[in-house]
Amino acid sequence: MVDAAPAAKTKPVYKSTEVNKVVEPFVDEYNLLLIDRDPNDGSKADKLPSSDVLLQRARDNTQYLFNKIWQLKRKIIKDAVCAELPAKELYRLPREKPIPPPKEATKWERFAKEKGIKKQPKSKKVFDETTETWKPSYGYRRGNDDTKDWMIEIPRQKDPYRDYFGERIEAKKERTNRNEYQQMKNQMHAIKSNQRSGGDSVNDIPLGVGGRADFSSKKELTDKIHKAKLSTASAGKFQPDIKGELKPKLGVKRKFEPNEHNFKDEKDRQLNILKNLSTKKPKLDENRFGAAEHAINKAAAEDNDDGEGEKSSAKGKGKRGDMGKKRPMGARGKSNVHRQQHYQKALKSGKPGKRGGSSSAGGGGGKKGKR
Amino acid sequence: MAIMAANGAKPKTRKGKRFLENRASKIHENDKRCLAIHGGKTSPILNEVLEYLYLLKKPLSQHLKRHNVMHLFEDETLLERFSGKFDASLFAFGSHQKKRPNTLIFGRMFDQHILDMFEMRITNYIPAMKFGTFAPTLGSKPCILLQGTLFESDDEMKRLGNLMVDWFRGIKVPNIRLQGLETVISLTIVEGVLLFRVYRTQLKKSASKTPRVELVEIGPSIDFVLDRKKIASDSLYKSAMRVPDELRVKPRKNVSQDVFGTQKARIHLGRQEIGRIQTRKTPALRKAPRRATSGANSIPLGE
Repeated sequence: MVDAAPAAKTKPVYKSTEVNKVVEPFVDEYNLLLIDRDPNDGSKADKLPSSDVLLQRARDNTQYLFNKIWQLKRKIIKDAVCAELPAKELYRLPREKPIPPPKEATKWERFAKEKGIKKQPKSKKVFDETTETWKPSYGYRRGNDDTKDWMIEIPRQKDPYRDYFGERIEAKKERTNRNEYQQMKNQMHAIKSNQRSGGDSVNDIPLGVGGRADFSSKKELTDKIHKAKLSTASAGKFQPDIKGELKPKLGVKRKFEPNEHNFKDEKDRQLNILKNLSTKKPKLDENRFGAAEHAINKAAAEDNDDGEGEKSSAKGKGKRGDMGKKRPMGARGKSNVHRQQHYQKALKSGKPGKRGGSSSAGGGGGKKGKR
Repeated sequence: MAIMAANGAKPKTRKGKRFLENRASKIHENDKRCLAIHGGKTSPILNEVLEYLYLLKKPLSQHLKRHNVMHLFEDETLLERFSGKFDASLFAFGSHQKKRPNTLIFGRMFDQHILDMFEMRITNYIPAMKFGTFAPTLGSKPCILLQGTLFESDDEMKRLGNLMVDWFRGIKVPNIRLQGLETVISLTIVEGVLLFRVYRTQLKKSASKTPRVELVEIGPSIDFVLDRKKIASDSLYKSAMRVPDELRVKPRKNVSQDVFGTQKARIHLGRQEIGRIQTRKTPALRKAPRRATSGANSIPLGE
């Protein structure tokens, strides 16, 4: 407030810039932040402070903050008087993205570091002989561009019918391909070394994204995709299809019986199994007899070598007792061999027809729980 | 590491590559962008507040005006997708429901996942229009005041204070124009109520070099009643606060001063691979002299 009394020549009275704080506040000039640690007025515990109180408090705090800022070094930028803020912040704030992983040195960089080779600064412009001007050293308007040559001089001994222009183009293509290949190798090396040192998974190639050459063939890749599809809770029934994909058999789930049945159910089940085993007639495939015969003879020859074979297999058969599953038997299974043996015996003994001999075959062979 | 878009596509143009590089993780980070999101249902108060927040942070902000049905305390994925799309790590989500009227959720992200978020209800709102015609310059950096002992004593309030500073501080600048310190945002905590006030500074003459500051209230005056919160675990927060090695100030070791004031330092050269130093190779200095396979001076081996 300026004292406006024209008669008396008094000095103008200004309001003070001093601020008295109970507790020293925390000031961070970089963030223009002040944290006021003063306790609130204890008297107004249940009521919110009024806007005047808040304004007064804010004014004091701002004055304190400005006092601090005005003490900083000054700088004049384009006719504006600025205060140079400190280089680093005191009140730390979290980052928004994780720290980037350190860049792995490329093969050349490692070599250069070891040998002490420093990068030679290249000039941006180059003196072009033909036009005698300074032209950029790279790019489509570059100086000393050999692709623009309309004539190539060749020494006498060289073949005049070779395509030297074409060769230049091919050589350039070769160079670019080689360069790309080396870049890719450097990248893979960087990734591998990052993996080896257990780098953060943050900057890895995402799982579903390309860049992996793990699959040896298209078929292998397709198989893996199908396996992945099948591994859902609905066995792949609701997975979206890729265009042009060969649809595998999906959506078929195995059904499991609950662990605990009641006693009656279990008993009935087991009895049913026995009944099925005794009554059901096995299907006989005539075409397989020849192969079976061959297999039997072969097995017989083997069994003769180790005499124990037959007994052990019989034992194994007795102990099997499956839970009512009718396993389709291949021609080479040992129990199958014995079954066929019985058929053979039956055939040899001249039983009329295969159907007729089935009862004995069914009785003799097959899967009997009790033996 | 190769630059790739979110779906794994590689950039085909140089501009595209630079765009992705800008959004990738860097040592010196960009200024944080923010999202002002309208929830499934909003009230007139919320609309005004979200508009104000959007204008305050312009051009570093995005206003998602259309209703986005999100329940942030249950499912965060939609918000995370938005954050990735707009490259925004700060957000203010406003929704109005019968049970939770005029609710605003302030939050921030780290690595496209929610780091902290605080839900608060607006109980008292006085719009900026009511205060007068002063309006802060667009993009000016405000001074922030955190008032109240709870900001330092209570861990959760400490995190809230940190979030508020993160939200309201503007761009990071090396210098600031002294006449441009116009806005002051004051946040006061009184027992679970956060009082948000905005003032404009008036610099008056004073006896000393520092001017006398007078404040005039402009801008909205909002009372927030604090509700639910989701705070990052200490380990996650610690990893978010990590400073990269390049920015860490390294102390200078092995330097000492003489009695006479001359600085003395010890230099450690490190191991030298003498065999691999690049030197000029003159034949005369070769270790083993070359032996001719045949000739008058060769010494026959064997017998």
